[in-house]
Amino acid sequence: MKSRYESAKNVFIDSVDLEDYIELESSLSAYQQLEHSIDKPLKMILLFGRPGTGKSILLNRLQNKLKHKREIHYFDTPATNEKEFFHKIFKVLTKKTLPQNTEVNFSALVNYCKNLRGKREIIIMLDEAQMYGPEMMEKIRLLSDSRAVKFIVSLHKTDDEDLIAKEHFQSRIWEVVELQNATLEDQATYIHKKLLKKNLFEIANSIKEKNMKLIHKFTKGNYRECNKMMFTIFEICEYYDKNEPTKISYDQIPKRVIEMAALKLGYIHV
Amino acid sequence: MYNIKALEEEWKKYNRKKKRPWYVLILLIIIVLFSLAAFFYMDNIPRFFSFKSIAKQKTEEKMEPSVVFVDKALTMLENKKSVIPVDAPMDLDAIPLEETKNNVSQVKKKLHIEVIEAGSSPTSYKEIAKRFRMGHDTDDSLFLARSYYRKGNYKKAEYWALQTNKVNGNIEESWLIFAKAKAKRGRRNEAIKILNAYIKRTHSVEAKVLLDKIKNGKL
Repeated sequence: MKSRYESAKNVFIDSVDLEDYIELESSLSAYQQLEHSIDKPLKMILLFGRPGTGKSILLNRLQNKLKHKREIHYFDTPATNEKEFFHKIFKVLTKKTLPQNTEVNFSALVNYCKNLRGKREIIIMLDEAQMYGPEMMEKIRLLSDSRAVKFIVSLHKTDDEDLIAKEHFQSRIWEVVELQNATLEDQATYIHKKLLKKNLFEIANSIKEKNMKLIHKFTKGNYRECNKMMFTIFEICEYYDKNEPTKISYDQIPKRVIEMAALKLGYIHV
Repeated sequence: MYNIKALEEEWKKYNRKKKRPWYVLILLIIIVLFSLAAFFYMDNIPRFFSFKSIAKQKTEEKMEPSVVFVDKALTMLENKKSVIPVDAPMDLDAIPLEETKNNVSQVKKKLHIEVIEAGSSPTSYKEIAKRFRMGHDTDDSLFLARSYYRKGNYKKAEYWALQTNKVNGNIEESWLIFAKAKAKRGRRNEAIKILNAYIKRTHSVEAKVLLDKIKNGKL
């Protein structure tokens, strides 16, 4: 027999799926800011935030919304080397694929871009841009200087280094859109909306305010962590539902289960 | 699926660890409360004992007047605080139970003063003499010796001084009255002998002065 928690668990499988996108006040604000920046004559825009704050899904959504209006391309994974990257850029610009054993002449590429000025406006979104080295970033800047190609660069904010402080970002970036971790209210809305989208009303209702507070405390408002946490909570609930139903209340997610999930994910330790 | 049983055990450990500060806090509160209770209890014990000792003292004091105030007239004098004849009707019930030793001595002094003020009637002296025989209070005997000496009744003065010395041989005044009374009665040598013995024992200056007076016939 299928447990009621199985569907709930699957809702929180972490993926960049636009169908699962949840419109929140904070993400809507970031989206509008990004859309507005694209309209400005800027060469580079930085989308900045801690991992799991929704940068990738925001870029996806932007591409999905603008793909019919503008020439917009999304590079979700960084190229492993410079050759591969410029092959991708060449394909975007010329709409032709280069043979594998050939290399892009960068000067010729810049000149090609300069010739495109006023004719085309190409937007390239680079996710995980912290993976690109300074030399590559310098070449990206040169391409953006042609004013035919606009780059939206998505970066992870880490505790160890302030990437914005790096010279190649500091002097080239004209606009910064920062995504913050979710507030308690945002996270609660996110969880509820996700469940309601799949018609899991009873389960959504069983997550009370104090449960939300505890989940927010453990995940610190990080959406990716929240997905992991909710998945684990429902997986534990699923086990109890199938094997030891007396240990679970359908009216309310037990605090014990949330703490067990937190232990499992390493948020707390014995 | 995880190993839920292992996770449950891990959670139990975590839960115990999480609640430990609360247990410690509750334990501390209990200790503090017990300490406070013990402190107040211990504080009350001496009070209880002191109450007991006061009660005991009061009981003793209650007993004393029955010995001291053998004469009911004394209690009457004490109660009325006015000059009344010593042979006033006796009323034992009128003895105030809360009286202390100090009060008793005050009563006696008052009585002596009142006896003098009342004109030193023979009845008053008889009462005091009677009381002395029952209580052997040197204040009474010395008072009588002093009074009789002042009145010139040297024989009785000598007698009461001797009674005083029998009870307490260290009262100087009693010795001096005894010697003076002897001398006044013409027993000068006896008086000198008594004084010499007393001086030898106490080196009293007053006794030496008196001895000189008797020797020089200036008494």
